[in-house]
Amino acid sequence: MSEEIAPHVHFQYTDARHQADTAISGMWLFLATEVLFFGGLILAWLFCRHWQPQGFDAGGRETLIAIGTTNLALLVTGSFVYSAGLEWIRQGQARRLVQCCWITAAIGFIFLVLKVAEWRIDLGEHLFPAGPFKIEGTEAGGARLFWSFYFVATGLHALHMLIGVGLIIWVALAARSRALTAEWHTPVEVVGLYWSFVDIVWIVLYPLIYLVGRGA
Amino acid sequence: MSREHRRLLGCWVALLALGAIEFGCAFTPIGRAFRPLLLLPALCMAALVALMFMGVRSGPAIVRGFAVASLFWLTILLGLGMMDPLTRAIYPALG
Repeated sequence: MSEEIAPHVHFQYTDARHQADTAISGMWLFLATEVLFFGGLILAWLFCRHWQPQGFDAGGRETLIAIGTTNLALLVTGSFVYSAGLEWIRQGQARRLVQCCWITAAIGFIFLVLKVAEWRIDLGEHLFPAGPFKIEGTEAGGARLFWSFYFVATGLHALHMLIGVGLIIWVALAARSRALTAEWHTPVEVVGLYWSFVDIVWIVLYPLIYLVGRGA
Repeated sequence: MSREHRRLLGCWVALLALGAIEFGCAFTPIGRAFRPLLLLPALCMAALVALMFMGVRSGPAIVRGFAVASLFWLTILLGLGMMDPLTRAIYPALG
């Protein structure tokens, strides 16, 4: 019976809100595991910097702060635009949501292009921790550790970004085909949680990678 | 533009301002041991994103439960992980 009234509500839920809350809770549970996943990386950063602060900071000073800062502004803007889109669909304006999704996806794409460009420059300057390395002497060991952290952390984050951009394009296509309405837009909320989480990860990585080593 | 959109816009401006403060502070001469304090604006930014963009403020109670639980276990992870490095006494090698 409930399928006739609300086609998106599955039989095990009392109503659409119950189903939406369950989906949102599921995504939050997943994000809680992601917090611990990235928490391991943060622990590695704390541990390595504690034992080799000079070398670690010397490695940090070689990062390209202009690209990192631009990417921070891009991601914060992406989260804002997507949240605005979520608010539009709550008001029943699917077209505005589609526009917001395309802008957010474009922002995510620009982030990834900048990230790849940054990696190319880093590799060109011999900052990959294996093989010939730019920093020599007593600081080399700590700097290699920093750049190991850098490539693992930014690589994992970029992978999450890639998945996020794909999900946002999927939401845009669903909204364009009128599958999402003011009454039912749970996928928009769930994908928004993931996207904002990826934003938070970059917000935390940004000072660890680009700022702490500078001025020390 | 609705009231909710204006609220989101205000949050975005606050995030950019915090990012600018963080960027500016990075070039000030702070001692090496205190430089991780540069994370403070970032933590404020993360809290803002969680509260305003992820619905922690307005969402169901279980959402706040998951958010608090993830922070609790992150604290356990980082606290126990750093317990040894922060408390170990280093003695110079003899000879």
